[in-house]
Amino acid sequence: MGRYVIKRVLWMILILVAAAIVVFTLMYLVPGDPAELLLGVEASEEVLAAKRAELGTDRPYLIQLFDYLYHVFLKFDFGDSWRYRVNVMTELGQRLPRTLIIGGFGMILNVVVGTVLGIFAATHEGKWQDSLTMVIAMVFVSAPSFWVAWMAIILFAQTLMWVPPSGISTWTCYILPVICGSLGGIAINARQSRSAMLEVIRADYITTARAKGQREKVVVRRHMLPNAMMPIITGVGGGLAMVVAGSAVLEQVFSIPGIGQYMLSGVNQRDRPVVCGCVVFFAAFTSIAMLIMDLCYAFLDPRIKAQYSSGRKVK
Amino acid sequence: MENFLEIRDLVVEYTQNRDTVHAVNSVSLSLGKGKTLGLVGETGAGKTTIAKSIMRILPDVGARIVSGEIWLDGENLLEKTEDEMYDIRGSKAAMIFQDPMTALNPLMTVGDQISEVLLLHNVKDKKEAMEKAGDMLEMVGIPRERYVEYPHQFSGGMKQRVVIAMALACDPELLLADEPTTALDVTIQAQVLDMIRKLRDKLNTSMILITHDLGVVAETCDSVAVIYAGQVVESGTKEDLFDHPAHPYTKGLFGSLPSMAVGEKRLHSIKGLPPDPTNLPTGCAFWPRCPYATDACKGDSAGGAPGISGREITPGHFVRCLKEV
Ligand SMILES: Nc1ncnc2c1ncn2[C@@H]1O[C@H](COP(=O)(O)OP(=O)(O)O)[C@@H](O)[C@H]1O
Ligand SMILES: [Mg+2]
Repeated sequence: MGRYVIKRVLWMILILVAAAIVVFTLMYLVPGDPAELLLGVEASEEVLAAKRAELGTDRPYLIQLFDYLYHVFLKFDFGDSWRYRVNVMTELGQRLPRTLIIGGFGMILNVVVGTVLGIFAATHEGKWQDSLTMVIAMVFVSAPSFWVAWMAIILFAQTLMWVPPSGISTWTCYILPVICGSLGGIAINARQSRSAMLEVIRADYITTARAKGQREKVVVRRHMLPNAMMPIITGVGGGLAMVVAGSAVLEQVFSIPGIGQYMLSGVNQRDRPVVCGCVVFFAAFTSIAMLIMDLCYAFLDPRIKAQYSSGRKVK
Repeated sequence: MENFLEIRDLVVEYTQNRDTVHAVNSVSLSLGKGKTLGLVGETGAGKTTIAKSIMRILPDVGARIVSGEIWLDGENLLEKTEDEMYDIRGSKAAMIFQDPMTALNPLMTVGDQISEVLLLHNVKDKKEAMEKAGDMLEMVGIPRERYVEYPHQFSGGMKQRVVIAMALACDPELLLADEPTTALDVTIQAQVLDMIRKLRDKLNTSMILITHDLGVVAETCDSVAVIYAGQVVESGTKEDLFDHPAHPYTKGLFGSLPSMAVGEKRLHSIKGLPPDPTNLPTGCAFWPRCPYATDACKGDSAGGAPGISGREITPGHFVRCLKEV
């Protein structure tokens, strides 16, 4: 088990390096001179040259790349924002809690509500409760999150005035982003856990448990749920990836100064250290989440645990 | 009620894609205390459905016991509430399932799965249950140290032993063994059956043994019922059926057996296929495959089948056929 974790962590570092190289290269290839973008077209050639030297963009591509990788992975320094001169790591640290509140609470809502709805639908298979749940889920799976967010702002913030439409002045500001951010995930999770439950309901070992004289409630809790957890965890993993993608959109719509918004502003201003820093951060976040998810699998399922410990079949 | 188990006119249907599957069509069976009844018949004949009906563990969705009575030890199980059934399942009546590979919960240790049934019926505290579950494992030839292992660490034959240990843990008075050896290697089959027989004799359990193997029937059963398309087409003592089969289907099945002394013979195959249970033929269900079929066998236009309801040819030997023996 320990060996497996080490192996996974090594893989993770490799993936992060790859992500850093890709995003750095993409930003490098964006047309236009960063110094000119920062100082404007009127700036004289000497000033521009001084700026290039300061940013280090006058050096060849490979030197810049290795310099960046060296600082990120060996000194844990993402550099300073070109435009604001603020250290990217410091800025990320300040913005992280806001993104985590939206992502974390969204995730909890996603898992709890999605799973409960899925189990509810599965245990009422074929009845109207099942159909209703699945129709609603279908709607939210299909509706784009920014549209849902706007509609929610119009209804709850502007018309009913229950919550502020944007900003982070009070904790109530977070209510709409959290709910809007989790709706899509809830819907996906509900569908996933419904089909997982349905599969388990028909499994032979459930009949075995009933044949022992086990109470139906206990059969659901002890035999069905743990077995249905596997696909549900997979759904949670997918949901985590959505937190990352979703935070950019949500933070923009609700004007929340989180990491997603930071990344978007970085992209708009060709601010390479900001964009690269955010991407590497998101990649690390997702990789760690996936690792935790895989460890949950192993914890729940002795078959997977056996695979990991014996060192075979490690993906 | 003289018989320990008596099934009367049991009718069970499944609903599948809006079609009605007529899985069990008016089956009557009886079994004395300590006796063993063999159920034989092709796949899809309805054998498992009969066994699950006795336990009342048919799936909630899509399965329905339409009518009939199942008397166990003087009580009609079909009139019991779900709460009353909890006490009967696993304790008074237990079942061994067809496929050991899927019958165990993959996320629970085998020991805990045996303890579970003990805690439900026989013992109150966890320690004692673990002790007794260990005993059960040893009884079926598995070292008790393996209590803490998971099903994936066991071979098919050992899993089936665990299932058997589970079924016998609370000394059931009725054991329903559904093809307990079909999924196992030939070499293991004899061992597992031997074990079931020994345990049955030790506990004086009544048993319904569902099997394809006529050799097993000859060695294990007192009486036999042949199931075809959800009906008992012939039933009687083992001797009746092996030595004087009366129904053309039974004859076909037992056809190549010169005598029951020759063991280990599988069911003979018969030309044609069993009927579609969503659309059974009128009259005798076997007529499309029967070499002796006459117009009378095909039933009348109303779908009725006069005279095919079954007759007793010698005491205790029933056959559902118009043809005189
Ligand atoms: N859950 C189910 N839903 C629909 N049809 C079923 C179900 N279980 C069994 N059947 C059908 O009922 C018939 C009898 O099945 P079964 O009792 O398993 O037969 P056997 O055990 O003799 O092979 C078959 O035609 C089978 O397809
Ligand atoms: Mg069967």
